[in-house]
Amino acid sequence: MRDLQKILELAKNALNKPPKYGLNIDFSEYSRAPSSSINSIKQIENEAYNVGIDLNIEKAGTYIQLDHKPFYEYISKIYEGKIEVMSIKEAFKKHDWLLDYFWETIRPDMDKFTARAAIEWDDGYFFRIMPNVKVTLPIQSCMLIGSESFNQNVHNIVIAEENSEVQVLSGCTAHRLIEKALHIGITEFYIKNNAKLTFTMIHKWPSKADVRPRTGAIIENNGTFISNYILIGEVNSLQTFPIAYLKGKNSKVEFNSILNIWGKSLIDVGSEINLEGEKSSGRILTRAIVNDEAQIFARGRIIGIGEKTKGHMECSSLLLSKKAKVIAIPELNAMIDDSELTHEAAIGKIAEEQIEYLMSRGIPKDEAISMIVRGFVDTRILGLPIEIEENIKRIISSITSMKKI
Amino acid sequence: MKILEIKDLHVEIMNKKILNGINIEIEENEKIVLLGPNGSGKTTLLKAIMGLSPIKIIKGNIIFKGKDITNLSIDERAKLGIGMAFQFPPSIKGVRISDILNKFGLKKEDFNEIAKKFNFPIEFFEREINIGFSGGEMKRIECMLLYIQKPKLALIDEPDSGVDIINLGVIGKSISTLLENNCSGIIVTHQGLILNYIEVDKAYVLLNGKIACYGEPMEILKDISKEGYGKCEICKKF
Repeated sequence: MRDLQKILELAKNALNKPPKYGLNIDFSEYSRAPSSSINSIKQIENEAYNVGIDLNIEKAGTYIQLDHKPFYEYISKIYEGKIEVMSIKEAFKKHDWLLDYFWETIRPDMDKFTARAAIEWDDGYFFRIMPNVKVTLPIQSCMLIGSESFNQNVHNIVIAEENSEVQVLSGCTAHRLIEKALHIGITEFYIKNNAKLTFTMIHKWPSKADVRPRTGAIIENNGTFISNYILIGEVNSLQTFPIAYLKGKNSKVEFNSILNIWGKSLIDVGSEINLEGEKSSGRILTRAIVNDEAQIFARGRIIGIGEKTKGHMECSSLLLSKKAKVIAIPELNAMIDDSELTHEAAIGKIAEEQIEYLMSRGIPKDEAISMIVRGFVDTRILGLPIEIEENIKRIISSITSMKKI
Repeated sequence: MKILEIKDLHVEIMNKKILNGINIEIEENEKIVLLGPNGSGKTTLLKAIMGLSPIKIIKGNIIFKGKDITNLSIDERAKLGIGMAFQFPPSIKGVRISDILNKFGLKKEDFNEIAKKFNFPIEFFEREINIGFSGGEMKRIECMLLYIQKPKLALIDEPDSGVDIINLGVIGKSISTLLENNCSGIIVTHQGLILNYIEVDKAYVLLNGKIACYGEPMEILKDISKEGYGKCEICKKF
C-alpha cells in the first residue's frame, strides 16, 4: 500500500468493524503480554512436528515464531543467495521496496482483525525465491503461541520471483499447555510470471482458540498458486476467506482444503477466486468431515472476469454425528459469457451401501467406516510431492485416530 | 454335504414383499444358475444370502455349512466363505482398489500377476473404486475381487451384462477357475452368455418371488429363449 501512515489510519477506523463472516470476538478476553518461558527449540519440537514442521530433516529454510517474536531462522547452505528466509521486520530493514507488497492484497480496514494486525503487529515471516530458482527442499514456517490467552498478530509475505518454483509448509499451533489463544495471521502471496508456489498450511489448535487468518494472492502470467489447508481437531472458532487475484494470462490457482473437526468447533471457511487474466483458471476443493456438534460454513466464490476463463468448485462433507452441520454456500459470477464456471456440493452421512460393500469383502464394519473416512480425506487431491504427502497423511491419521475413526 | 439351505424364505424391501417362500438347497461344489424376468427377485435372493440392506427377512432361514446365518452380519458371512460379485457396486471416493487388495493381504508383488490375469494395467489399481469405470471394468473388478476372496459360495450377479466379447472371456475364465476350485456358486444371468464359460449343474427359474421351475440348465435356457417366461407361468412343474 506504500504509505504506512495511510495503513494505520485505515486500520484505526476499522478497529471495531465486525467481520463479514464468522463469529465476532471480544479482544478483551485475550492478553497482549507474552509470558512464555520457552527458551529452547527442543521445547517446541513436538508441537512443530505435529503440524508438519520437522526440525530434524534438512529443509531449504525454516522460520519459527513464538508469540510476538521470531524464535528461530535457518537457511540451508545450498540455498544461500537463492532464497530469503527471515522475519518480515528484518526484511523491511533490508528492502525498501517491500512496502509495495505490504497490505497490497488485503485491506487493513477489511475488519477488526486486519485492523488489529496492522496496529498491533507481531512480526511474521518473509520468504522470497529468487528468479529462476527451483527449490527442491521445502521452506517451512511454524507460528507458535506459547503464552496462555495470548493474541498473536503476524503478517507474512511470500514472493516467488519470475520462473521460480517452491514448496512452502506452514504449521500454526499452540504449545500443548495452552488452553486459549487468538491467532490473527495476515499472509500475502506474490507469484510472478511463470512461477509456481505450493503453500500447504496445517492448523491444530487448543479447543478454546479463535483463529482468523487473512490471505491474499496475486498471480501473474503463467503463474501457479496451489494453496492447501488442513485443519484437524477442535477449535472454538475459525474463520478464513483467502482471495486470489489471477491477474496474469494463463495463471492458475487451486484452493484445496481437508477439514476434520469435532467438539463444538465453529468453522467458517472459503475462498474467492478472481479470474481476471485471459485463460486464467481456478479450482476450490473442500473435503470436510464433521463430528460431534461441530459446524462448518463452507463458502466459495469464483468470479469470471477475463476471457476464456474457467473455474470449478466442489465441496463434499461427511457428517459423522446427528448434530454435526455443514452449510455449503457456493457463489459463481460470470461477468462475461466466455467464462465457464461450475460447482458441485454434497453433504450427508456415509452411505450404508458403501459400508456393506466393503463388509461383503470380509472387512469388519469399523474398519470399513475408517477406510471410507480416510479415503474421503484423500491427500492426493493436494497435488504434493510424495514426501510431503506422506507427512500430511501421517498428521491426518495420527490426529484422526485419536478420534477413533 | 449341503453348503446352503434356504428354507421357506420370505423377504420384504421397504414393506414390499419380494420373495414368497423360497426353498433351495445347494450341495458342496454345486453350481446353479438363477433365471427370471426383471423384478422377479433374483438380486434380492443374493442380497438376502449376503445379508445386505435394505432387505428384511420376515420368515424363513438361511443355513450355511450347517449353521444358521439368517441374523449374521455381512462381514461374518464373508469370513465364513460367502462372497459376492455385485451387479451395481457402489463407487467410493478416495478408496482405491489397492486399498482392498491390501486388506486381502496382497503384496505389491502380487499385484502384477493379478492385473495381468484380469486384463488391467497395474496403474488401474490406484483408481478409486468404481469412479469413472466403464461397465466392463466394473464387472471385471467385481470378479477379480471375488476371485481373490476365494469364497466357498460365490454369488455372482449378472457378470455378463454390458461386457464386450473379449472381457466376457476374461470374466468367464476367471469365474470358471474360481468355481472349479471346490466352490459352489449361484449365478444370475439374463442372456446366459456366461454359461458358455461355466458349467452349471442346475437352473432355477424365479417368478414373482417364487421358484417356478428347475432342471437341466441348457434345456430351460433353450425353452426360455424360445417361449419367454410366459410358459413357465403356465407350466407350474412345482
